[in-house]
Amino acid sequence: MRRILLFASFVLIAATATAQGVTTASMTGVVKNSKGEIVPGANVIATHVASGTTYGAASRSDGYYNLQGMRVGGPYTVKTTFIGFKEQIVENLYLQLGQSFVLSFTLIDDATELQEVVVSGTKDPTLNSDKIGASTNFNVNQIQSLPSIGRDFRDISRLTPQAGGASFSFGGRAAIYNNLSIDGATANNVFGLSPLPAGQSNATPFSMDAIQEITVSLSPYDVRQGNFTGAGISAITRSGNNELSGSAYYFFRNESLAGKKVDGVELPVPSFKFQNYGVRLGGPIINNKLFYFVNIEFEKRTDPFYTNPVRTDKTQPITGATQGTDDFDPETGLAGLRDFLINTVGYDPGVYKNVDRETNSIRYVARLDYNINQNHKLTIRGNVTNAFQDQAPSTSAGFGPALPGGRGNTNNVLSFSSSYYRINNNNYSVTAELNSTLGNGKFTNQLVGGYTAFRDIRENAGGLAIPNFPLVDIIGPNGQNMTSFGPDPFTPNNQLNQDVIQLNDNFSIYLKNHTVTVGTNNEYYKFNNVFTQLYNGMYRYNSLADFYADAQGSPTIGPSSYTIQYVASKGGPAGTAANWSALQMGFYAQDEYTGIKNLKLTGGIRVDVPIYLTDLYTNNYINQIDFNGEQLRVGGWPDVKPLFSPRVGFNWDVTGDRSTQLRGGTGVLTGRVPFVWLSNTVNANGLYFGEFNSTAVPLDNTGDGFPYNFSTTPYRPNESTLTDPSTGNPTFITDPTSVNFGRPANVTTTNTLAKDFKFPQVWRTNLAVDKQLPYGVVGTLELIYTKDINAVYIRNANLGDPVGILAGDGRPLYGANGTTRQIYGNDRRVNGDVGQALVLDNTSKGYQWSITAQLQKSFSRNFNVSAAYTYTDAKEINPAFGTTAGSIFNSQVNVGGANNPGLSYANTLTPHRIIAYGTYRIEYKEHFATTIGLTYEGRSGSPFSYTYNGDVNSDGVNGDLMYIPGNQDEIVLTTSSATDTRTVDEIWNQLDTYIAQDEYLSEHRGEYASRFGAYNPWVNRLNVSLLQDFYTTIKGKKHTFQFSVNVENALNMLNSGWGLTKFTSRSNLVRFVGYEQPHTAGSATAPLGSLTTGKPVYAFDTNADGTPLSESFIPDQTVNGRWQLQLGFRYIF
Amino acid sequence: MKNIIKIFTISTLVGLLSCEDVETLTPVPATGASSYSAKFLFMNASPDAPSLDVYVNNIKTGASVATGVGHTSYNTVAISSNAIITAAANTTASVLSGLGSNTNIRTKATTGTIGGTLGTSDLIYRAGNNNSNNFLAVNGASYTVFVVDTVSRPKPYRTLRTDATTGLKFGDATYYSTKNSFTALKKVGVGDTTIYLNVENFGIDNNSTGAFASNNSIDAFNLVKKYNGNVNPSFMITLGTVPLGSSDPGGLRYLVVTDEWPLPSTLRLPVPTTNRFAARFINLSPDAGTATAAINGTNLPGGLFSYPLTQGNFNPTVGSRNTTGSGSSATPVIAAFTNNFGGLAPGNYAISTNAAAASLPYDFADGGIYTVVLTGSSLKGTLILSVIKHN
Repeated sequence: MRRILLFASFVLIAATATAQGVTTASMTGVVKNSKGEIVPGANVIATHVASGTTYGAASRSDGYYNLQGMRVGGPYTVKTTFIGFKEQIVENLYLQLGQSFVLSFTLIDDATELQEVVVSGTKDPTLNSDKIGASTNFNVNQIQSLPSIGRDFRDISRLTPQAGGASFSFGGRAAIYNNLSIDGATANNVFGLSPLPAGQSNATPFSMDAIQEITVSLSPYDVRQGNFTGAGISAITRSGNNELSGSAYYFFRNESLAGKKVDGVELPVPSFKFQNYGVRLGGPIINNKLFYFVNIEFEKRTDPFYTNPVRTDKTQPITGATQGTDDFDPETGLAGLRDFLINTVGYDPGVYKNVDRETNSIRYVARLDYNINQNHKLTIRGNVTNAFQDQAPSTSAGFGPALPGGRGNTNNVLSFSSSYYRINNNNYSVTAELNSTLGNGKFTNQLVGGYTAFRDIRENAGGLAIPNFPLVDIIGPNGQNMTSFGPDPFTPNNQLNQDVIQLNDNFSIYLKNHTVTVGTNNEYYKFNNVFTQLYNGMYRYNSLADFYADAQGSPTIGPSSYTIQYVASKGGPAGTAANWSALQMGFYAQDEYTGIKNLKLTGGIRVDVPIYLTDLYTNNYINQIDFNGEQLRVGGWPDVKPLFSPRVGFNWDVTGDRSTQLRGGTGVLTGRVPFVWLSNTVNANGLYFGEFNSTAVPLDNTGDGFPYNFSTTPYRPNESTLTDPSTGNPTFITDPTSVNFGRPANVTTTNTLAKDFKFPQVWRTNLAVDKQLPYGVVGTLELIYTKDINAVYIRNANLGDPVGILAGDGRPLYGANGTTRQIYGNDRRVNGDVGQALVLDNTSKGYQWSITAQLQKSFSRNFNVSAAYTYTDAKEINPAFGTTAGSIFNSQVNVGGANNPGLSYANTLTPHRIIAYGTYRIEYKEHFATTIGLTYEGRSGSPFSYTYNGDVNSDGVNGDLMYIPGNQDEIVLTTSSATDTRTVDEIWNQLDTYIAQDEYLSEHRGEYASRFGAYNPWVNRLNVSLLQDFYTTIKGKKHTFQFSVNVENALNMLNSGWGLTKFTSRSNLVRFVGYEQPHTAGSATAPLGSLTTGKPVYAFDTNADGTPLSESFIPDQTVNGRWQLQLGFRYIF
Repeated sequence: MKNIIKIFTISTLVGLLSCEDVETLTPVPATGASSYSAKFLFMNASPDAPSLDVYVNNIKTGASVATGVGHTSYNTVAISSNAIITAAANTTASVLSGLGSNTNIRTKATTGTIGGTLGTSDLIYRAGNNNSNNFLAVNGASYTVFVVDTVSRPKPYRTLRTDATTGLKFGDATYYSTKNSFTALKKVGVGDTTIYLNVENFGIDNNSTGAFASNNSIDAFNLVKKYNGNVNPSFMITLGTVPLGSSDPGGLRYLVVTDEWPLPSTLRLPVPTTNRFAARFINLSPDAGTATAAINGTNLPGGLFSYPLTQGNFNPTVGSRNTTGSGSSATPVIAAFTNNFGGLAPGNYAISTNAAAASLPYDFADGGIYTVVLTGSSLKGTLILSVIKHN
């Protein structure tokens, strides 16, 4: 038998491919003889050269063969043999993640003299029959060569044309709706406190050195892909080969390697230090049989928390006063306070400045690849990420009275280090994948199992134990918080454990013109979420003197407020943890049909069934309340209903020579919600917790003084002291069957799920044309349209209907504030026993569409470029930027009321985006190589909303969209404070001038501003990486020393006025001061009181220095807004 | 295939056409500014302030108002909100406003300095400790704003003392002497280590001998006795409670007297009967002590002569105060006008006082409404009577 050796010239560098497989690639083709007749029974064997892994199948009766479950990458050698024909060998093939590489053979009989051998292969990853939906692939060379100063896979993934701007969103849908999988197993943080694992610690879940390829898929019509309505990001880890190889690396940057100026103004960069270092190693355990790969990476960053030096020479300023004219020096005061706490109270609050934020992560990846035999390949991968980041204390006061000024360091605030906390994100994951070829290539099976554990634990900053001490806030002379000590309000009693088990199986049958796949995708989730805000109690004092006095037992001076959340159910569900579990099962079947010349059709259907496995406590008291005709189901899960996702797709080779192809598809994608939204319903049921929030003076309900005075063991309500004033019943409930069970000890917020609540579903359609253009350029024009079927919508069932129209504005007006249980009054609530009754529900409103024009060219495997422009439009009801239903609801700015937010622009929308990138590598003089990587992103700035600072429609949600006045008569203005020296006319002139210079406002005078209708200025970002290799060969082994320079925001390096990211100076432009006439509370004789008939009155505040606010945008002055340079060293063998 | 393309093209177009617009409402904006207003009359009643320019909502309503006797007439000024009176008549506590406050009251020295948080020549009415509040004017009301006190009144301090028995305690009174140009006391007596005043480290008081009426206040009388060998007790003036961090900058401050109240009608400028006039008396001298005034020998009624600053309720935390015609022991008492005063017919009468001020002949007109004011300093011998005519 003679052998025919072909060197494939197929270059597969360009960054597009389908995402049909999840963790592997495949190969298919037809075997014919020189007469064009099909050749059944020909053996096709592909060998992954580096590992000796072989994949084999015989051509079927229709001449086609299929090789499945193949390692991504290469090079591959493919050999075809059949008795009586010359053996054919094709070498140097590389496969991409998810690619189905088409390689067909024309065999020549032995008797024929060799004249021509025909081997047809798909040369271009875009112009091929598998490309149906929108997806982008990045191979290992690109991952290593393209600039990423954070060594973060998101920097690479965001090169996808349809990616959003600042956030990790795609196609105008929020990052929380993406799905990340590693080696085919879900790696999402499904609970969703951050979209990605270790996100709260600002760590990446895996090392870039452990990744072989990444695929971002937006519109897969392969029904195997599910659990997202945004994008599916699939990464696979590296594998070991027969040859021992590895790398050790170190990357570094600090403040001296960053820009010193912002737009020409010299501004010091706070000192910081970033280090990333690690090692990877891969090799054989048994040649051709068993391989290993390991990677360990460390990342450390230190930043100062103390970035706003409070005046050391002067004092805390009083609004409008000249600094230094008053009598309080915060540093002196805090030093004295620290001494007092240590010596008198016996509590060490830590230090109040020179506190550093430590960010640390360690990532381990270990992988085994076992070629059991030619038909069965087993992969086992384990990875561990231990990450933490210190955080400044929350600015929030929870359900307590809002804290002016917050707790993080500002020019006014110096909190003690005992209030800073640390978030630990520890993730452990193991997956196993078995790829099998059965029936001599007629069947394949992919079995994936995985277990992932997330352990999120809080500590005090520095890894210290959380003190058993209350939180104390002390207000300074200017009315802003001056200092805080004691643990962060949300840190004690806060822990999250997640366990995710998954089992997937795909079975494919290869028939004539059909590839049929059936499979299942199942995920089991178990959550243990401990969260109690303000568990240690929160004291607030109006002055340092008040605290001193109270701490020493003053009978007349106490805190201005005292707030605590406590376990409220005696004998009931005393545990404060939300323990629950759920299951999401998916089943699917699809067919790929190739029976029509030049046309490939796919069709399939997937059904997902979310099942809730834990029975929850209900709350009979709340359940029996009539919320305007609606009765809630506290503790009730939605009905279990299957969610169907039919999908069809096509790829048409229009010209028959793959120079032009038309492709597209349409179908339904089913995702999940962050499970934290569901978890809210587990413990926000009015049963577990009572909320005590006293701002009354005197703070005493027992008549014996001030029981809420400062104590290191704060007051907690108990059964003997709290009774329902209307019934006299104890508010600690002992009988769960009683109607009164769950009557809140105080006004409380409940979270429930609508009975027919469904996981998010979208209908997505794409249509694209790919065309071979002159000079080897491939052009693509791609349209994607997505319509929400079940979008998540959060409403407050306890928000009553509007009671009127706001005078001088026209928007609906709601009843008066109701923060405590009221017997009388124009309470905006339907029921005064309940605060917010939030219901997770669905709406079909919302859509996204984008159109992309892209040009790509691969000059060689070492030189490729891509450039794309994408226009995107997206609208939604609820922006998904909260981690709880409450945070989402309370931040949805609106005109018509919080329950009627209306359709508006998505907060992740980036209307215009240009993305270009390329890599070029040149080797020279036998020992040198230089690699240059460039990425450029030009995009619309992030969207924002022009709102009022305040709740003008009285619906209980701050930040209502503002009416943009056309003239002075349309807005009632007043001064900002007693020190404001402007007349009303002067204030209007300043506001009018501001509106006139603002593009959005000036174009929308006389209208309500739209939610996320305004945009920050255009952003230009050019990032550059330069890798300089020095290599030599010792004993047949190549050794490379590599120096790297990574420049983030290179334009800014050239000119400090370039590459700036600008943000709105003030989105809540004018401050709602009040109505011309107030709401009035009711009384026994006039229970309804009266509602305002007055117009709203606003203040247009000046800048802090008293100058008028005159410019819409200010540049990002942090280090992230400037150029940064990162140096690296790497040894590769 | 063509059919497939058609289907996708049509479905895509349908999809795009179905892109909905932003859901919003039709605004019904205001068509004019607030129609609410109040009237303000200013008097420069300080014993030593320079001439003053006065502003309401930053609109100049008086220029170069001279010290002691100068005053403006009522000026109507737009305010941003109406206020709702919900309870007993004439009490500020029962007024609800849609705004926390709606009126800025501000005074600038025409020349020279007067202290103040906005600068050395710019003083604001301060209803709160952090400048976030100002004056709440009621729609339709009339006010007389007196600029009172001395430009050299010290900034009040809250002081700390150490009590050997009970440990740290907080005194919360600040005193100052009116002797020798109203300077703050720094230390009481040479060699006397007993009491320190108006210093941040209040010092040690081991032998107060009952000087402390409570843990939180210092009895003025005992302090007076200790001062200067009990020689000049009347020179001690308490400023009331002073929390630490008080933003009162010292110097001038305001006393706002409500003259007219929209509802109910119990507080109105009087309407004297024919051939009569109405009058009242306010003692605004910081050191004249108890004083009376008489017109043609007939005393203006009692309750009118107590300078509010001498009552600890004029809280230096705030620095300014407003009051109404009816009051209680908890609020400074400024009586309303006495209608048809003394049964006197209009004419020229001598206004006299028991304080060391010259009597003042004055023409009282038929139907006139007058406030007789005692200003100036007894210590400095600058006491003077003056008259404000309200109509």
